[in-house]
Amino acid sequence: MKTYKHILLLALLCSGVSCNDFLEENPSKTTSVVPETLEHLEQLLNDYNSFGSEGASELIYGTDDFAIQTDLYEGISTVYSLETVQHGTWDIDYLPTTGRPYWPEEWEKIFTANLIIQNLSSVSGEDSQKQMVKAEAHFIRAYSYFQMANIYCLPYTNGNKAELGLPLKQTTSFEENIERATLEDTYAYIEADLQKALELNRDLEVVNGQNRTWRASTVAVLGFAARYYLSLNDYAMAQSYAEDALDLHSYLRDYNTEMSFSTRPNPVTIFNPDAETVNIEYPYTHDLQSIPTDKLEWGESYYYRFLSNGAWNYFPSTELLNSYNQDYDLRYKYHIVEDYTYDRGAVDPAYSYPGYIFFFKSDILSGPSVPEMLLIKAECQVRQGSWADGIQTANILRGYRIDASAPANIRDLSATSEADALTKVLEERRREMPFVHRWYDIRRYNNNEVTTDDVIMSRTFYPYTGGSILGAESPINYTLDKNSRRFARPIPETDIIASGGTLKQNEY
Amino acid sequence: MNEARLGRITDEERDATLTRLSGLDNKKQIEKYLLQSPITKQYNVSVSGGSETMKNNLSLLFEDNKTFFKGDSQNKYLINYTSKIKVNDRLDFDFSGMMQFRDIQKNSGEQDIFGEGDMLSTIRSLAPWDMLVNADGSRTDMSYLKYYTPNLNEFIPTQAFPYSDWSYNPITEMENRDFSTKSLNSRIQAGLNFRIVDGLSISSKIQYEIFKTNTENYYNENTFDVRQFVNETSAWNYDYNTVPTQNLPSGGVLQNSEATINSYNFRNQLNFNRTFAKKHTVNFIAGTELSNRVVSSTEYPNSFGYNDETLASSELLNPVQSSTMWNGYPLQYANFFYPFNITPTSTYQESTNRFFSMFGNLGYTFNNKYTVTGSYRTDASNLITDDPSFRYNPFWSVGGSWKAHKESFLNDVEWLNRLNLRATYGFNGNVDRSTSFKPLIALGSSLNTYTQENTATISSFGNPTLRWEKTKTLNFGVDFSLFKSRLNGSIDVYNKESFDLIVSQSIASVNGTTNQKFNNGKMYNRGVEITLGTVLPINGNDIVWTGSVNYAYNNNKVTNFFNTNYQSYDLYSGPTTSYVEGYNANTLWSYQYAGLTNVGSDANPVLKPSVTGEGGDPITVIGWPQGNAAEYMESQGTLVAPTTVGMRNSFKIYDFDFSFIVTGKFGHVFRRQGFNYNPVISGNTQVNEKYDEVANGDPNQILPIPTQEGRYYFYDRFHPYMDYLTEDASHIRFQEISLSYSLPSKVVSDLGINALRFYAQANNVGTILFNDFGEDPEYPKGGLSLQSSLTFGMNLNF
Repeated sequence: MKTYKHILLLALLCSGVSCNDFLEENPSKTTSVVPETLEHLEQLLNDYNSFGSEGASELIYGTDDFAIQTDLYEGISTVYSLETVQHGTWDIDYLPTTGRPYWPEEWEKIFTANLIIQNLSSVSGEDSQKQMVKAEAHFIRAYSYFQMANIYCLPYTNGNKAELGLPLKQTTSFEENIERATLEDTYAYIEADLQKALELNRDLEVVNGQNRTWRASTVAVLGFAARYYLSLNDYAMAQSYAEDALDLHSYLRDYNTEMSFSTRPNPVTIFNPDAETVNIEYPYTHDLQSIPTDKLEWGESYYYRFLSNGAWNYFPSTELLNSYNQDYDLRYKYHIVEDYTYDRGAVDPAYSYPGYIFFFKSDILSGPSVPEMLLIKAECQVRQGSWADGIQTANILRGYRIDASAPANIRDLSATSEADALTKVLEERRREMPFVHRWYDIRRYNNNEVTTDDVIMSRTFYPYTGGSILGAESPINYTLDKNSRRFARPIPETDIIASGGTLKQNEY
Repeated sequence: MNEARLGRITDEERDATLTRLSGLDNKKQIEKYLLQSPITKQYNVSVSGGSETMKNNLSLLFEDNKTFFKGDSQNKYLINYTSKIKVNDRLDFDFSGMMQFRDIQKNSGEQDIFGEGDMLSTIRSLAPWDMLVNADGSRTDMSYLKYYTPNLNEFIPTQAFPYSDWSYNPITEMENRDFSTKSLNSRIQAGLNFRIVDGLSISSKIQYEIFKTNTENYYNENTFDVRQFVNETSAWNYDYNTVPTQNLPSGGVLQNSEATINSYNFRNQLNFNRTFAKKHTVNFIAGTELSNRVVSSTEYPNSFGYNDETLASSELLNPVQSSTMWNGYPLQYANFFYPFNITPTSTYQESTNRFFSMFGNLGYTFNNKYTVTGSYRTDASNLITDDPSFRYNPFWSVGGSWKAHKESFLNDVEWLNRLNLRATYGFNGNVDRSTSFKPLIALGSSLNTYTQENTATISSFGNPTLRWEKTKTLNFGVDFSLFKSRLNGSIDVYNKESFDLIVSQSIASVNGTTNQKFNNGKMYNRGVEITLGTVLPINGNDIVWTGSVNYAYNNNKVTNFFNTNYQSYDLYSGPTTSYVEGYNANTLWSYQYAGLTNVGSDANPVLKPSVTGEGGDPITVIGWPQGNAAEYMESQGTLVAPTTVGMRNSFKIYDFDFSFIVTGKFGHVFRRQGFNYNPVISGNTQVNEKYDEVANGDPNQILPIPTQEGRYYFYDRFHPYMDYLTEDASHIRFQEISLSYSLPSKVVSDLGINALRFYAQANNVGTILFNDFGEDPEYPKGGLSLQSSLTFGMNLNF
């Protein structure tokens, strides 16, 4: 009898004690974990899928590199979604409510960076390692802010300092104020992050034949710094950082020997009107969709970022096509893919127009790279008076891009004056990095000390409504003036509503 | 037809083939070779015995179950033992043990992540002319369903690949698979019950359970799946004269995985039940419960070149990193194309759920008439939080009842036998275990294939205002019995108001995410439930009618939910994504078909089908609709029936019993089957029976089939969600009719047995539908339809 009583008493006690320890056990070892070690935070950074892609339609369609052309529309109207045309004509009326914007993608990267910065003090790990991860997180944040400031804000000039910048998110909290700071404060924020990022001390490692570009490295930060100061028209700083970066990593891929066409046939049957099979010749870099191997082995890139075009429609404008020497420029040979419209469905009736193809149909590397550094250096040299040196610098790149059989006067650029040299170097820049940098470049060209490089973009295309392109009406003219307020692209209306009006739309 | 268009065959050859195909019908073959009649056989033995102080019961069960598809079966073995021991006057001890073994064969195939591979989808994808067996009884080669065979034969050196046989036949597939899942489930339970004083007892119960499942899916090399896999993973350079390089070993593939669930549960309870001075009755229960459940699973790497006889398997013939497949893709891609996984590592997962509850319930009844009750409980679990006290949240309820018929002033009312009025009011709650105050990350389960590094992603962005979901319930009820208990029933009216519901809400993407779970949802559920019943002797005890009807009506509405912009797929793929403030939680949202719209000019019109967009502007069905879908889509009613009615009648006529059950659901809607607008890329494009309705339809009323449309692939984002497909889902079902005959007790006792009964029962006898298309809303076309069944039986008790 007594024994039973004891058992019962014990049973009651067991259940009555505080169960906090019992309930401390984590529900899952993998799927929902509070970051506890530095390794956890590093794993977040290892996931290149979280950071690599930049689906910025504003950049892809918003410049004269992209063909918003009535001839292409008449040949294959399906290459133009309404959104493509709206971005391509710098629309501000429909895009805020209808576009599927790039804006949230970067804020998610910023959230991850903030999560890392916030958790660093509480996770276990070596201090020196923590410092590296911290610098890397600041780099990611600076990078994203820079991207967005260049798309959603006016160019950073003395006159624009009080204009709308971006919300300055410093934590992961949803309670944090998300009012847009001034442009001046936004750039101060980027600059501060960049300075912290420059503390990163890490070589660009090679792992299994791939450059470990998915993680930040010293050279990646230097490359970004060069890009940043160039955008502020600070040529001395930009050149200095570009040279530092080139000192660390200057590999260039020789298109004469290290570039090739795909060995995989891509036959398309067209009706012209009779059936006929055409093989579309892609560069080998087209073959792998969503597998990063080719991108990581490319070798010229410092940091794994790529412009991502979900509609697979990088259609180069006639102007861009004409800027290449079509006989000798190997960039034209490999990246300008003839008959690309057949692949996109223009087979009956057949209509041929080329596409710009880098990695698969959607991706172009956009992180800082060796060619970008060379072109920054060349441009800065020219703009600072050493224009002959600048031409020489650009010619280093051309040696890797122009057919070895080309006569020397075609292979090498030459200039007669500083202004001529500037034009030549900027043309080279456009040929080398179409779609990726053009938007940024036009913004700074229109706001620097010279006017010879200004670009006023205009399009002749059909009018449209919020529902469709009015292909039956007469084409009209769309122009983006030199200092148009439309250079600050609209932010999504959904965010303005969801913020309860705290966020403000750009004024036009 | 494509071959004719390409000029490879003549128009005459094309027409001859079309004529031949139109004369074929594979329905009988499918029934004969792929389907079987489902039959369940069950054998039961049970033994019990004991004495005054001890009772034992042992039962054994074997069940053999065949389902609809050939190659599928299920065997179940069950042993159950229970024992009750009366230790002394105050203490009882009971023990039970259970062990169940199940062996499931599923050779008909299993659904893969693309929703294909199981027999039902295989059969669905067959067109009537896809014959399984030739006239001479040999299996047909249906590889044309998998490849565009004219091109395969013309451009690919099929003989040079590891398997020269490229044929496919679903019967062969089924015969050459051995998919088996074996599970063993054991449970033991022990309990003590100790009576302390009169009316007061304490009980303690513990249970432990272990559940192991092992799945082995073996495909031998005669399956198309394996031959295709080995052939297509071979490297080849597109040259007809080149011999492909084999990467995967020839032979079968074995997939093996296992899962274990370990759980225990410990419960202690104090009971008190006593009446004092014949007037005051007190009921009291208090207790605690603790449970722990760990689920772990392991998926082993696939074994290739596996032979079921020798149990031998081989490694890959070439390194994964550097090899390519026949289409030039890297071998690493094989996981995306085929049902096999070439990753050489195991995947492990483990999750732990722990719960702790405390509860108490106190009731007091005065004079057997007036009762008040109060209850309290708190449930806690191992959710992730900074603040341990957050895990506990107390909930309570109070109630009262009045047995009015026991009042003296109602004693004289003869027709009233019972009248009981009830009311309860209380709160209960629920917590979302998937989010936490802090952001959480998910760790990758294996190394990234390309970088060979571990990765992690953000799995929750944090829910800093996380609280318990709460529901306030107010319920009034009355139970009654009238006219000497000939009519009895109950009426209940309730109003449940849920608040702090965790809903996924729009926030500014500046915060890192556009959707986050917050405790911001509110909804109500109001309803009434009425039950009426009668037991009516028509001729003494020989003929008796027992009838009951129940009626339930429920209405719910989302009263608070903030979402700034609904995408159309949020709304049509609901319900969880389709909550819209002011609407029923189960609202069906559809596109409003707007007919053809001119996207060209007046002089040169280009007509495209469209749906109504924001502000009434037409949106063509060849692009993503933009704008707020809640503005332009139409709410067409609720998917869940607000009104349900059930009726059961049984008649006892001497030794016969006859009964039937009828149920009805009313007031809701469903989407009927529409034309399937075949996908563009699929190898086999079959057309369903709704072709006529589209082909003969007015293109301004129903989405037409385009003759030339480059963006046809957008159609399937629209056509299944059109408003014209929505129909009334009301229906009445005759669920059961049964007739039984019991041998009169006199006859039975002469035979030396206790009872003998024969019975016949028919289930799912018929359905009355309220839509014009003859479609059962609960058994949509293209799936298994509701099967009638007939049961005959005999019950014998010794």
